[in-house]
Amino acid sequence: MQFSAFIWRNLLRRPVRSGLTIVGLSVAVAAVVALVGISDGFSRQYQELYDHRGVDLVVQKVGSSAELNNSLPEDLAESIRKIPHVKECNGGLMDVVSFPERDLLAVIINGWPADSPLFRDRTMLSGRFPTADDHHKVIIGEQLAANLGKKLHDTIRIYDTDVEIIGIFRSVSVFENGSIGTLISDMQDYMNRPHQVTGFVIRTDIPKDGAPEHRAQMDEVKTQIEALGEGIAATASTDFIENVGLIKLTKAVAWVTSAIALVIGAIGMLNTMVMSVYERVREIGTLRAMGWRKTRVMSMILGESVLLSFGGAVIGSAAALLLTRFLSRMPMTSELIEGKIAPVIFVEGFLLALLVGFAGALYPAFWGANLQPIEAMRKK
Amino acid sequence: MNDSYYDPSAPSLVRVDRVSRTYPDGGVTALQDVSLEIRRGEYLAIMGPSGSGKSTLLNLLGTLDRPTTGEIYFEEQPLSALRDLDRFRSQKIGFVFQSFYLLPTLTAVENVQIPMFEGPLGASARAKRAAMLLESVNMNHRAKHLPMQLSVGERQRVAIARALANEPQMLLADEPTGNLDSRSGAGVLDLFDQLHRERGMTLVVITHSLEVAERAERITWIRDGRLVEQPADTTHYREHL
Repeated sequence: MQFSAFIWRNLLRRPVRSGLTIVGLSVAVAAVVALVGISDGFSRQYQELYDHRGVDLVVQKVGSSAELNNSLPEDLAESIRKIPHVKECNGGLMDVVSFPERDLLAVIINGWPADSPLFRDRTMLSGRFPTADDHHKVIIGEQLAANLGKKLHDTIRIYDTDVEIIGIFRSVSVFENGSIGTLISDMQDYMNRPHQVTGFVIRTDIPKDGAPEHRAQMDEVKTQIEALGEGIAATASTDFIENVGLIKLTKAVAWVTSAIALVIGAIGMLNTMVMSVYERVREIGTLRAMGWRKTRVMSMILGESVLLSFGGAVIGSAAALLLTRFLSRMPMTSELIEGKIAPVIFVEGFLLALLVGFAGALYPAFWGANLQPIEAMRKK
Repeated sequence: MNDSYYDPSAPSLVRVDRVSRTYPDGGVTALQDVSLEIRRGEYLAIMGPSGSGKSTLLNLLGTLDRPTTGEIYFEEQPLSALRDLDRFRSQKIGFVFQSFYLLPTLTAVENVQIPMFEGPLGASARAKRAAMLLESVNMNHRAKHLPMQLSVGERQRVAIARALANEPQMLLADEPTGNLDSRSGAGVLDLFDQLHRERGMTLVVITHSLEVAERAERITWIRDGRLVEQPADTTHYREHL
């Protein structure tokens, strides 16, 4: 008999209790993996989008915590384009609209110039891209079209205005597949922000190989952009995403919720292992009398706990995957959640589950290992 | 009394030297100034009434407890100087208890392997040895049974096989027939005889049954924590046990 088989046999002794403990821990793991996975997905999708577009820098007003309220003059683009190494500078105005009748409460709408490459880097499934004369016309992502039940040439109502759908597109980003694109001039009218943009995305011709001289060149571009006016911040796309207020908030909420779930999981594990050890006091005394070392008794109890945690991690990870896939198909959340979880999040979930199992069993393991054999064997 | 194999000239295996054991909590002195010698290969019975201190003495011999004063020597090595008592118990001592203390989730053959986990054998070698030990106590046909599927006599046989797992030098048995019917009890005592005769096993049996004690080569009497002379009238003594 292997030692692991002995541990396994101990868990099977109380299958209902072991099962419930696994279920409890799997809920905690599912919460961690799903919430952290979803919040991680937000920043990853942003990053993928920026990488896809080759964005090096994001220019916004410094110190604004709400990105949508950022405002910079549209004509700043001309000055930025003159800076050496700047290949492209594309401004846009972004907002969020809702369609309460469809339970869609946060649909992103972007306004760009008709000739902006930001329009063109998506696949048009039907219809066409807007021209400079296409006022009160929009293109929408395929997911949003499905959620709204709209097709080409249907109208939707935004900012109290009926606008015509002239194109339905597919993007590499889940966010964009649930978004709206329109002319920036219309957006400026709708939002009453004439000649203003939310920010600019910049492409440079500087290689992204991390070489010191190229980093220095990028820093020089940033410095020159920021020197164009007070309150202008040029940020590397990676740093920008990490500092988007909504993503930071989402990650914080995900981790706080996960921490609560994990604490509850650890208490559940502690309860299970304390009960398990208390009812086996005589057996543990017998094992000690037979010459089992304290470390082996501790290994046995911790092993049982880790095995339960492993079960919880497997079931919890599967549940998290199913949950995010389900949410990615729900109209309310399909524009935000892509239904994928990065492998590293699963690894984090497993490690946290094992940590919870270990932490929850530490006290009973220590207590059990330090039982005096004779006293333990006398227990009824 | 069985005195066929007792050799007073055999070397000492265990020497108990003026050992006392006091429990400070209740102010109880369980053993007082006990000295005793157990020779290698000896079959010794320790007799006494309940509360006389015989189980305390067995626990001290098995290093499950430590003397308050005095010293116990095993092969002339003081036990108080041993740093790894777990290893000592695992390798040198076999325990047989009145209540068997078999693990309920493990089969007979698995229970026998429990003490071997602290030894050098791998899983398959452990299983092989356990099967061999079960055969030696005529329990190989019940190897795959859980303790609850065994009779009390069979459970004690499995417990004896477990006690022999690491080829101990001394077997300590605490009321080994206390929970058995007379037939099963006799079978266990026959097994002890066989171990003593065929393997030269040193056996120390705690009992308050004169019939059990009389199977040993020597009987030591204990009362009120002290070793005492054999009562002149054991029948009368037996009535008070």
